[in-house]
Amino acid sequence: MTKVLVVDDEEHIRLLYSEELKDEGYEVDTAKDARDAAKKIESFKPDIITLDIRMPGTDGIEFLRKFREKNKTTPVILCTAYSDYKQDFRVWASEAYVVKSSDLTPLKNTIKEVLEKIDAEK
Amino acid sequence: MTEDDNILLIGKISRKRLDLASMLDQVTRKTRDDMQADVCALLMMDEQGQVLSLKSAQGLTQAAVNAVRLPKDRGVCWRVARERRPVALPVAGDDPDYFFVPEAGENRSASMAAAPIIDEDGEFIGVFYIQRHQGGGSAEADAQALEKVAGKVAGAIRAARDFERQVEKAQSMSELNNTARLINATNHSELILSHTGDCVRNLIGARACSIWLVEGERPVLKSFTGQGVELPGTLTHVVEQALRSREIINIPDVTNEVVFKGLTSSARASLTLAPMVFENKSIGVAVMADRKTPKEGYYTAFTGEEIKAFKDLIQTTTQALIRARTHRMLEDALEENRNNMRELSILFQLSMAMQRAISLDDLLRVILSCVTVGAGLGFNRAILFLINESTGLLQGMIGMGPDSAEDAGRIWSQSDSRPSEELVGWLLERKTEGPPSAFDSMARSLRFSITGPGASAVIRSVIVSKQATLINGVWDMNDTDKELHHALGCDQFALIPLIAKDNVQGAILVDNKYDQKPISHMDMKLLARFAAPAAWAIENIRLLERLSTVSKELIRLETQMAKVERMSTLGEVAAEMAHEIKTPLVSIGGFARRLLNEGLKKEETKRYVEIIVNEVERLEKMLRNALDISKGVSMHIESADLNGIVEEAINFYWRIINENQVETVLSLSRDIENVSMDPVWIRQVVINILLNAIEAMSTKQGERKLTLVTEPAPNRKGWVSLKISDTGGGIDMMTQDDVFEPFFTTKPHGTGIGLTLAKKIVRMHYGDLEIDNKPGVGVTFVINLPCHMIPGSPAAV
Repeated sequence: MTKVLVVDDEEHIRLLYSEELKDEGYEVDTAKDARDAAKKIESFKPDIITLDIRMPGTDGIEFLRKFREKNKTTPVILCTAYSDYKQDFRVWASEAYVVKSSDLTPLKNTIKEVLEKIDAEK
Repeated sequence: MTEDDNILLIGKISRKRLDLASMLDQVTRKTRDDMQADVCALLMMDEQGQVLSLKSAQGLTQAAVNAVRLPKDRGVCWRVARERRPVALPVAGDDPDYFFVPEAGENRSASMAAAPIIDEDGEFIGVFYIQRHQGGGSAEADAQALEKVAGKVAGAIRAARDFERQVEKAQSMSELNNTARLINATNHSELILSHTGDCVRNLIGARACSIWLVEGERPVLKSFTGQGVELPGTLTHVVEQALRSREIINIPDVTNEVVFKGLTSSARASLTLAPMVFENKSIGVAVMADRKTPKEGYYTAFTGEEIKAFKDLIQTTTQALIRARTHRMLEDALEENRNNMRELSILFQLSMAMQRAISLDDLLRVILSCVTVGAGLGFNRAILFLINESTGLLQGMIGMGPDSAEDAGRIWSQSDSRPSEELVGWLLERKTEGPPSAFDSMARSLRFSITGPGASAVIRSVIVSKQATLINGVWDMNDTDKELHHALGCDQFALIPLIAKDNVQGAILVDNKYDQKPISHMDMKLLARFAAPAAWAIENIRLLERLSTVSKELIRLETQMAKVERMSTLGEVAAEMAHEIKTPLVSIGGFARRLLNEGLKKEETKRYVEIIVNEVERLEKMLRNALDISKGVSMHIESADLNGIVEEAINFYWRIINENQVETVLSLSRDIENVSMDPVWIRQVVINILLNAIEAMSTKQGERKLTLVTEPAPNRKGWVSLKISDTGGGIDMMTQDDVFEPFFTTKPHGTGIGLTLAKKIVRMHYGDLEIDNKPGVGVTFVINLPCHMIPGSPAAV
């Protein structure tokens, strides 16, 4: 089963995402901040990560930069409230970019697309 | 009574102060009575020794006195005159010299006796004569008696003549005094000179009198009285000599003078020149010529007395002239002073009025009022020109004055009675009533080029050379001035430049078309003095108006800045809030969706959850828009077709349009250029307005019509415009100004962001978004866009 790690500082969001993604047939684990995420990546070994940008402490973009130094293959989907990060070149390190919405369809579609792409490349 | 008694008596008579005629009458009466003669007469020789006239007679008709004039060498009397001794004729008719005098009656048998009257100097004066009608031998005795009496009579005549001369002199002195009074009574040089001339001729007895006054360095003939006297040019030499010497020059006989040699045709006998000296300086010379004598055409030299009288008279004249001159200078000075005072007062009041004018129009009107009212400069008509900086032409701004002579009469009879103290207020309050006068309209239509080959020479001289110019008649103008001349219809006018800061701003033109009063140098001076403060007032008010425009612009910018600040503050707050709100919204909405997806059994619950899902979605949309406004939006400018965008938007929303039963009318001009824009953003603008319009009409009964028009922007080259009109009933007037404010909305489900964003996007394209609201009908939004955006980044808004 494909493993998805949801990184978000908001507990309810983590719950919503994991419930929704489980319904989609993924195995889901969550992390509440960057440090937690680092541990979970080690233990859970996700196939794909959804990463919130605005987080207390190390934010999503900074975390992504560090993560990419060690891991260049695991795809990361950046999630944020608004589209104002589109111009930030650091975002390019991610595989995709999703604007948070109560409608999770775009996120689900994006995860699907990224995974399909990776499968195709294999 | 003896002869001696008679003689004694005559001596007495001679001591009486009698006039000659009375004295002679007393002598002849006394002699006839004493000698018991029938006739006693006295005849006197005229000055030329040509005629013996009967001066007194007893026993003859009194009509004979002065009428009887014995021709030379006729009768016994002339014999006495010739022989200078008494003659006795016992029987007159026997004498070969007998001469019949009709007035004496013919009596040849009468006896006659006559004796000469000879004065102390031996000069023959006349003849003393008696006659006895019956004749007889006493003639010889009568002659001897007469001779004795005649000696006394000579003395009596002398005394009487002296007395007469004294009286005459006294009379002449009193006349001289009168003349002096006349001379002193006037301050007119011409009158002084003519009185002097009359006096010299009538009282001193000169044939002519001329008076020369020094002008510059030379004597100039100022007055001449008299007739038939030639004025030889050589006279000037003598006049100059008298001027230099400051002494009386008397020439008893001009023919002896070298300078008059060759003037034989002149009968002039003498000349006397009296210099007119004041404070040791000669101011002129008076000349009297030819002492008149009783004999026609015969002139002699002036006597010492006459010369003295002349000298005295001329002194009086000199003083009178000096006084008149001083008086005139004083008058002139006073007049000038009065003028200056009046001028100052007028200028002061005019400047006051000008300073208090509040707009350029107002000021120009005040200026021309100043120039045309009687209490001001009082010209009939005036036009004010200013140089139009964009056309470079001298342009008529305002004209003031009557349209016709009748009009002038009407206006002038009404006005100009107000006291000048009220001038300032009156000038300011004076508003033009009714339609502009024909003259004003004509003035405002005038345009003249200042330079170039066809330019009026008069205007060029005034504007380019900065010269105040007075045109006195057609001869002062040439072909280039025809237009100006024709417009005025007046030959005399003046054009004064308005100069401030060394720049010519324009000119004031004045004329006196109706009363034809000539424009004087005084007028020109006053005008020039007036033009300076007028020009400054114009300059000041222009600056003031410019300042006021700038300050209005500043206020506008300030308001806009405040708005921008408000927007950006709002934006920051909104951005922060949006972030904070977004996350819980995602949770609420997300879980609501989950509930919905779980397949709620109860229909009501399902509807409630749907409401939660929809409302959250709306909130999310609103937050997205709010952040778009607050953040700088990046644009990708390309050349795109506005018509294409409109069509795309309509196609995209065709379903909504149909659902709301809206009729769409497209009028897309194929003449519009492509526009430099970010098509995504402009599409957003069109959609925002489009959806607003559809929503406004969705609840409306009756016509629902959406009209979209593209066209080249009217009056703006290189711009296109898009008009989107609806029939949604328009916006409440109260809220019209607010529609572009963030978060303003009249819609139950609106976010209040759409139009604010639309406006912001249009402004980023350097365009503008206008709203034309017809309450009760509908709204038209007009988007104007420049086809070519100014190079560089989009406008910061």
